[in-house]
Amino acid sequence: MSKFLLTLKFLIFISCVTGNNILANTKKTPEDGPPGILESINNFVHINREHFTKAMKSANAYRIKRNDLKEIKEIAISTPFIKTILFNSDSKYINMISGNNGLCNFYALMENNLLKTTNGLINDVLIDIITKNKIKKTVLVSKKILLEHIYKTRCFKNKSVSTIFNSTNYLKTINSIKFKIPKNRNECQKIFDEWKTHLYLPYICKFPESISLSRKIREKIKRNRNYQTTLSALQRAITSSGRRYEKQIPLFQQTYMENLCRHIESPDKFCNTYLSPGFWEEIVRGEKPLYYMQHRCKLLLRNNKLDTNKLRQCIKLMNDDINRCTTLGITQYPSFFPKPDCKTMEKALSVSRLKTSYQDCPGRIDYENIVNINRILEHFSDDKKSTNPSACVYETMEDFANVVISATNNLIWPLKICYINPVDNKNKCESYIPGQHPSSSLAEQKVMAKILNRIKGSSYKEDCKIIDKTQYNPFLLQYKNGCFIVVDKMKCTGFNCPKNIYFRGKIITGIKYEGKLRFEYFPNSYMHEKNSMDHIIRQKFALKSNRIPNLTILTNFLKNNPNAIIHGVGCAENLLPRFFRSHTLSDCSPTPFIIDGVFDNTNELLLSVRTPMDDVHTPRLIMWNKIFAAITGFQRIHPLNTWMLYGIRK
Amino acid sequence: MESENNIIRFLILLICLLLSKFTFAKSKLPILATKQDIHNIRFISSDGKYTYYQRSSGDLILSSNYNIRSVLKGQKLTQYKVYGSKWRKKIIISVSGDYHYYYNIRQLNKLYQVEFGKNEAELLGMGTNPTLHLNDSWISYFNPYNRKIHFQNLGHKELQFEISLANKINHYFVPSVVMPDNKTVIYTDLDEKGLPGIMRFSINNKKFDLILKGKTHMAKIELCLDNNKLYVGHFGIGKRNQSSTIQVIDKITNITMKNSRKIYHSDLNDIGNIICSMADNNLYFVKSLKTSSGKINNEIVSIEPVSGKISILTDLKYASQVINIDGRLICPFRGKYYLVIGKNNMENDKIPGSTF
Repeated sequence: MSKFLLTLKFLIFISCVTGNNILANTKKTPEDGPPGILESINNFVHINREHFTKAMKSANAYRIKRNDLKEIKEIAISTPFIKTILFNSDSKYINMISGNNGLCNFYALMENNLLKTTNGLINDVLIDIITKNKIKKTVLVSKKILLEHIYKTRCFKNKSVSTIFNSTNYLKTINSIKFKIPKNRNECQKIFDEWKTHLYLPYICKFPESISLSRKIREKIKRNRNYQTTLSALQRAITSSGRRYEKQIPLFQQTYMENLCRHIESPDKFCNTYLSPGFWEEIVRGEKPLYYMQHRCKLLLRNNKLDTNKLRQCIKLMNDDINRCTTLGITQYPSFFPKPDCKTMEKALSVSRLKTSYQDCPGRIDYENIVNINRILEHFSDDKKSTNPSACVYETMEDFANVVISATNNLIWPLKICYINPVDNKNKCESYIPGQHPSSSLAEQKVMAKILNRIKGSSYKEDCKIIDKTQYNPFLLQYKNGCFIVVDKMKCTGFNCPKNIYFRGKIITGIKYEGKLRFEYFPNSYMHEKNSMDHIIRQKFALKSNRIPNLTILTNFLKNNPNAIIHGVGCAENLLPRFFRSHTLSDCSPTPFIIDGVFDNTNELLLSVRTPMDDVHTPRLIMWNKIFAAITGFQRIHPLNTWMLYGIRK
Repeated sequence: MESENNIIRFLILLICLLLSKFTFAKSKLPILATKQDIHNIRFISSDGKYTYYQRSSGDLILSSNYNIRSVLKGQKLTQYKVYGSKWRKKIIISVSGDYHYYYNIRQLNKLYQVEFGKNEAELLGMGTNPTLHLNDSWISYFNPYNRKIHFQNLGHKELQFEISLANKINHYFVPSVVMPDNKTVIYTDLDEKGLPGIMRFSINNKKFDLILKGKTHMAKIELCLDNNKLYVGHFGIGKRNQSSTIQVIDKITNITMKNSRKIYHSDLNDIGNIICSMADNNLYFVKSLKTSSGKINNEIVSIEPVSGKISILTDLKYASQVINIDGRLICPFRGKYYLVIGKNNMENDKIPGSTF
């Protein structure tokens, strides 16, 4: 195709410059009509061939020798010769004749038999000369003599490069060159760019071309021995040298040079040889964040230390059985079950952009709006979170609580532990965040310890522990001292768990848990718009919000904003109809979700979606139609009848 | 080159806009007709006589015979769900006061019972997925936190018991529950590896036994009981080894899979959501259909249990749910309710003798 376009450009150029009317030379009757473009090209090629052959024949009478060059004032490659080279040479080598070194590259390419004319490989060159007597002539000169002259008068570097790549020195030279293997795309592009402008490139490409031509000729000879007699001297030489190169040059260098020269116009194709496709491989090479597979591989390999080999092992395990990912980590970090398989997950993650350098445990948190908000907070903040099965509930709640507490005065953290202050006999309440944490002062067990210090005079160093009813045994010595918040998990309704507080073996009354987490994800009324979670997080991170009414706007929004994500609220029965069933009218379980990528699945576009029930590292691929149905389903029930799908970006 | 690409993109966009009318083509199915906004209605009887609807004030109201009566009072934005059954004796109401504030798919809601067409509500307990059984004499509901199915006799409140699920792996699992008689409960469960199974619980001697164990965790099992037949649907979830089957056990007195016969099979993963309690004794569910271009559409279909004949009932392409509201089969789809089986029987509320 590039040869065709080049020819087309040349056709237009020649017509303009020379004023030749190509059509004038064709014998067409008026009835034939105007020729098509292919016919014009055909004619042009035919004409060019004729001109070239004619020029070569007539110049043959004026073949010059080495000594004759001394008498020549100016030399230029003849136009028919250039034309025939342009028509008959590989475009990837033609394209090397550009830039500052273009002219010298032209001679280097000719030297290494990478340029061709109508007659095939170049032995003799047609040149236009002006003698010292100011006589203009078109003459023929052998390629060897011409190049000797050129390398003496200009392109001096070619001479030294030619020497180190000659038949005596080539092997040593090749062995001394560092053929770098790229580790990632960025590095590969740099390596490629360096080669593209390298002085050695025309000399390096000689080898794979010679090897290839030698193989072809030897194959033809095998099939027909008489073919040998038709070969020119140059063809015989190349056949011989090609065979020698194939035997002597190490395989790695051979394949590297072959790959480089074949794909010298396409960095992607050059890089693909060294950089295996696949999303997981991109992570191993460092092109994508490690967290996309780190947590999964730690669970799969049961090893917290991951190196490149272990990651590759992990990839193999995932590829061997795609259902492995469907149950992974479900006990330590409960979430929706079964998870998508490894292949589906790979596709979804390949287009995903949500920052997930942590692991949360949605199955242990009842507030799906909080899980979703927390994921948005983690995406836009630079805070690093730890990953710990025992602390994952608390950390999710803590991030959310910090945002709420630092928001407007009207919105106060509602969860409190209340007691009667013995000093003034008045009811006093302390804010707390549900869950256990070793250092956070708002952690439930810390707040309880503080209260017990005030009402029971316990040591301020004494900490409380949150344990299940089945674990607590007041007859054991370990439970005789200290503070225990005993939870009856069998009677829990999520965060609303009946609890008893024991201090030094005795049950404590007079301490109550009060308050409910009631937050509007998107506003339920215009009056409370500023108190909605959407508004609060947008304020905190100075985010801009765009309404996303259709798939086209969604796709463009994600495309134009590389770090943006989309969030919305819809009915779980429409998002995941296989798992959640409607039984009655307006049977809709509102579920917030995050969309962070678009996957092109040939027939259709699929969206990378995380519901708050899903593991944060396991997005699903869901069709736009399901998202649309989910949002419209909830819209009809919502008091403001609002379309709830918004893109958020910094 | 770039300008050419921009022109091509513009032309594609223009064509899409012009053809956009056809992308969401209208369905031939009628829309459920109601006298008020359907999105306020929570239950409507098939003859239109009784309508339970909610107000923005948070109240649930019964409308019948030109009369409205309060069923339950709640705070603003309370959300109600109203469940009926084919026996038309009881109505179950689920109340969620924090519906718009507290998104929790496992939320336990207050459950009330009401006589069909009446408004005096009685509190039963807290749970999810309430289901009426055995001529509306029993109710079951589920607590996903302690993983127990609670059963209560609606005539004799003291008759109640609980079944604990073995499932610990899937925090969002909801069992399918049927009561073939007042001695037996058949329900679905998951084992420690997430493999689905069907269990039988004998109420009298409190014994469990396994009827069926699935071979893969990438599947779900649904149960549907009607006219002394138990339908067992097995629908794949994963990409590999896709399949869907429905079997029927004709003798509910002896429920074993050996006594079952296959009435349906597909090599695709259907969505399922089987309904079997319709008057015509057919089975209805959401099936996956492959188009000539390889795309998968989902439509509601019916199966005649005897002949196995399948009929496609909808033309929505992306149907995902089907519900039975007092004998009418309805497909909720993109905020509308399409009437799949049944008629739009609206009571003639003209005042007798009126000229209007």
